[in-house]
Amino acid sequence: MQGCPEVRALLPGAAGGELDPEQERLVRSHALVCDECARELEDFSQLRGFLRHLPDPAPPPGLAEKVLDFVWKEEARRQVRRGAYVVAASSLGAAFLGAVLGWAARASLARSEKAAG
Amino acid sequence: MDLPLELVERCRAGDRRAFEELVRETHGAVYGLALRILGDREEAEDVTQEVYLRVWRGIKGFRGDSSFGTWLYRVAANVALNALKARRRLGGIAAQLPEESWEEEGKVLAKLEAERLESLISRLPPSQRAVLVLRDIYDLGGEEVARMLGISPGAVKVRLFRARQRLRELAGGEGGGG
Repeated sequence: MQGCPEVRALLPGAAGGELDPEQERLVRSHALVCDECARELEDFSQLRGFLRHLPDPAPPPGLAEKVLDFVWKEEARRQVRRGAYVVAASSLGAAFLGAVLGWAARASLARSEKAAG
Repeated sequence: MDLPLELVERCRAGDRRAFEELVRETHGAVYGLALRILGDREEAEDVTQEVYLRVWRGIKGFRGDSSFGTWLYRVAANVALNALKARRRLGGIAAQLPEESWEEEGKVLAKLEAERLESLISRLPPSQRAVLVLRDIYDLGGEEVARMLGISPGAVKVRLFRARQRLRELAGGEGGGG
């Protein structure tokens, strides 16, 4: 049948409504006169219908509990890490503050000695 | 996937009981999506765990622009696709797809069983399989799938058409020339 190769390349898209209007017209008019392409178009439409209504595969038993165990353990780890960051940050902050105060005290003492001398 | 809005709101408020209920209600769908993209049960389980960790940590950011089910599928698809990319980086195990045997029966689409269809989907090349699963089974938009995969919408279309063509051939529905 004339035009088959061109049309057959478009059939998977015709089943999903993904063609532009011109391509859509070409496919539909060709399918009216070509049984093979009409059958193939019907196959793609059926296939798409099956895919849309495919039931979910059964999950392995106990997966929900495994998932929850994983999530809560990861959350607990995160809390511990956050706690460690807070302690580390506090220690660093205290050390920095101490250094600044020490520097200020030394500078003040130096100024006093200079003024007295 | 229909979930009571109230359950999602309770999860957003940090209610662990609500989250546990949500996981029990939805984990089969998330596992199914991961399994269909990855074709490996153990990896699909790992992905399912990772998905819910992200959901718990990110559910406050769910604004309700789409349904919760669509949002959950997006998270699941992203995690599964990342796992697929990581697998490729680790040595292309993706090419070693299961070669399940089945008897060709000619034109079988009309009586194709769900289990057989799943088996045929698992035999598609991973790049085609991901597009087919996300577009045709989970109904995600072409542009969205393109963003997830880092390819153009045109490339999504090409892969999708090839995947449908290949799936039809695998199903034994190839009708010869016209």
